[in-house]
Parts: sequence; C-alpha cells; structure tokens
Amino acid sequence: MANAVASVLGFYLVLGVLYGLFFISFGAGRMVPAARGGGLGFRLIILPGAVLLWPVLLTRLIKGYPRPEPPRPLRRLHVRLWVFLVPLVALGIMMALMLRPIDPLNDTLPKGIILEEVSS
Amino acid sequence: MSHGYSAVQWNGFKWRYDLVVVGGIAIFMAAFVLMTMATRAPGQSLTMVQMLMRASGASAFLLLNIILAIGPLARLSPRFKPLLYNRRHMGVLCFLLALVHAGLSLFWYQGFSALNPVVAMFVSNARYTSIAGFPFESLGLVALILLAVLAVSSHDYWQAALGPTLWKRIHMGVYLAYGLLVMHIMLGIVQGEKATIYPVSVIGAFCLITALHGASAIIGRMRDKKAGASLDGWINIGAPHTIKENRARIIKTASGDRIAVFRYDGKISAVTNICAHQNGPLGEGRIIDGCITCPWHGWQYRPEDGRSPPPFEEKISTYRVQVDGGMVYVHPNALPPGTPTPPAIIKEAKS
Repeated sequence: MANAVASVLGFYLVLGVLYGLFFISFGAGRMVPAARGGGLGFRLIILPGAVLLWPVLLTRLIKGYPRPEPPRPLRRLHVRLWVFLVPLVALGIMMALMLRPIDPLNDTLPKGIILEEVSS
Repeated sequence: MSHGYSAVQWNGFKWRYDLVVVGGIAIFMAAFVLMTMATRAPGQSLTMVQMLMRASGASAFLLLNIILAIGPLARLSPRFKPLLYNRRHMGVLCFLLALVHAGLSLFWYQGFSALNPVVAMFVSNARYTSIAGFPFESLGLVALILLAVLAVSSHDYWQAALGPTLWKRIHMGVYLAYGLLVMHIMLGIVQGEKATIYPVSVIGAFCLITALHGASAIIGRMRDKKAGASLDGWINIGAPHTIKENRARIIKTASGDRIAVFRYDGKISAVTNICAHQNGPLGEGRIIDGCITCPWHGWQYRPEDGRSPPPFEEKISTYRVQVDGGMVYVHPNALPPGTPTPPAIIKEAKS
C-alpha cells in the first residue's frame, strides 16, 4: 500500500514536470495573454505551480481555455469549513490530551522498566 | 494588476516586510534552540538536527497562525490591513520551513532505512486505527502537500489563469492544512514530551484563531447594512451624506450579493464588493486618485465603469444608482463587469 502511494505520487510529479515544461513554454501565454512577454524568471517561478496543478491546467486546455469564473463571495464556504473543522479538531485535541502519557518517556516502555536520569 | 508579469514584483514596502518576517523567524528559531538547550534534563539532550527539526516545525506553525490571524484582524481593525499586502510571501516562507522540517525528519528517522524514506515513513508505524500511537507523520505529510499547492500557486499569474473564485477555493485548503497540523502536533510531540508548553501553546493558538475568525464573521454580518425600503425593485440605502466622502457603504441584497456604494466628488456609484484579485472587500477601501482602491493589495477600479485604469484590464460588476427625494437608491441586479454606469449626482440642499 505504502509503495503504491509513493509510486502514485512519483508518477504524478513526473507527468507534472513534463506537462509543466510544455505549459511554461507554450500554454502560459495562451491562458493569460498578459503573460506572453513574461521572461525566464517569471516562467521558472510558475513552473512548480504547473507541475502540481497539471490536471486542472490540462482540463482547461482540453476545454479550449474557457474564461475563468467571475469573482464570487465565498463567505458561506468559509463558515462551513470552520464549522466542519472546529468540532473535529477540538474532539481530536481532547482525545489526544486524554491519551497523553503522564511521563511519556517511561509510560511507553514495557512494565517493570523505568528509565532514570543519568547524572554526569 | 495583470499588465505583464515578472518573477516577483518587489518594491520598498515588500522588501521591508520580508526582512521583518525573515528576521523575526530567525530570532524565533535561535531562541527556540537556546531554550531547548537550556531546559533539557541531563541525559535527554537533543542533537542539532533534532533541534533544527523542531525549530523549523515550530516556526512554520507559528507563521501559519500569524497568516490565519491577519485576515480577521484586518477586518476587525484597519491598522492590520498593511499586513495583508504581502501575506503570500509569508505563506511561501511557511511552506519552506515546513519542507525543511519534513526533510530533516525523513533524514533523521528514515534516512538509514533500506526502503525509500517516504515508504519507510508510512510502514514504520501503521497503527492508523489507534489514536494513541497514531502515525502523526502522515497528517504532517498531507498538510505539507496542501501547503505546497498553496505556495506554488500564490503568484498573481495563477489568480488570472484559474480565476479568482477557483483560486480562492484552492487557497481555502489552508484551513484543512491548519487542522491537520494541529493534530500532527497533538498526536506527535505532545504525546512524546512531558513539557506542558507544547499542548498549551498549540491549544491556545487554535482557540485564538478560531475566536478571531468567529468574531470577524459576526462583525462582518453586523456591518452588512440591511436593504431599506425598495422603490420598484430599487434599494433605498439612505441619504447621501450618511456615506463618508471617498468611502463606501456595503449593503447586502436579498440574494446575498454585497454591493459597495461609494460617495465621491458629489457623486454616487455602486460596484460589487468583491475585488477581482483576491475577493478583497472593495467597500472597505477608499477612492484614491479617482479610483476605488482595494484595501488588501491596492488594485484599482474606476467607479463609473468598474474598469481598472489603463494599461490594466481588470473589470468588476457595476450597479445602477439614482438619487431621488434626497435618498440614494441602488438596483440590486449586477451589470456585466466593466459596464459604464452614470453616477448619480448629489444635489446640494438649498439654504
């Protein structure tokens, strides 16, 4: 399972690098005309974004670079995210505190073994 | 604004801002290392790699808390608005610190494994069904991936390419990363260290950030002016003099849209409250040099047509306005971005 996750991550990044190089060479200016005259520094700084976001960019390329969605208020999404996160994290914090060993160093050892501080 | 792009658009303010942030983090990391060295019991001292690992992780978490506090603080008090201006550089630094923390952790704990270090991290502790002993490293890894996406897409180009709404949705992943990091710390170092400073500081920070966002949401709702009596669909927002010169009043329509109604030079104009850059609250900005200026990053739009002054090309929605019987009325239907709309002229009261 761990090998599969690592392989998927690696595969995603390799495809991302290939697509990213294509994108900064030919796609960046087609997507945003103001970027056509962008120099090498600009293209290199957007390369990591193209590497990680390549599925989104590829989808937009296939759709013929549709106009981006206009600005919309996202306050409701913001509130929903917090309402979802706060109880979940608070519950996690409470459980983590309840399970916390009183003396982490000794409590995690097998019974009968106690570590003592070594004085020099 | 999107007139040509460069790698980083530096200016004096950004240099000073970044210098303060990097200097502050360097001081924090040095203090963290010195405190750790001074307070460790004999026989429990940490190596320099371990100390740097903890210092970089603590710095990244501290920076993330500051980043998340700036938004609501700026909403609660205008004094904090300058901090919003270059927050993205802070975000990139936060990711780099998290990357250093992850790199040192992989090197220290998995670097000598026969397996790939990332695979070794997943298989060395597979107690995913247990709370005590949960492989907290995986929570940190997911948070790191989220922070990476946010950092690499923070350039203005990506806002133009993806559109402000999709860009903002992606960047709301910061809250998920924050939750994962709180649990990464609570199930990680807090379980392994006796010192109470770790749980106290993490829980304190989480409560503070939650309280700030809650307070900001409540105050934002209170500031929304309820739409007044309507006149054939037009919304009455009160007398012109109740809006400060070169400032706006924000109203919320029945459909939930927010409109910023500006008063300037004896005129009234209305535009959407959402900046085309990062959805900043235009109504909290002011008119500078004849243009509506976003309080977050200074993007500008002409009040008469919602267009950025040349050579910039951004556009926002405008709304029809009229002054009738000494009252300002706004039509709640947004016009397409960049539509010229004649401002309403305020007639001076005859003495």
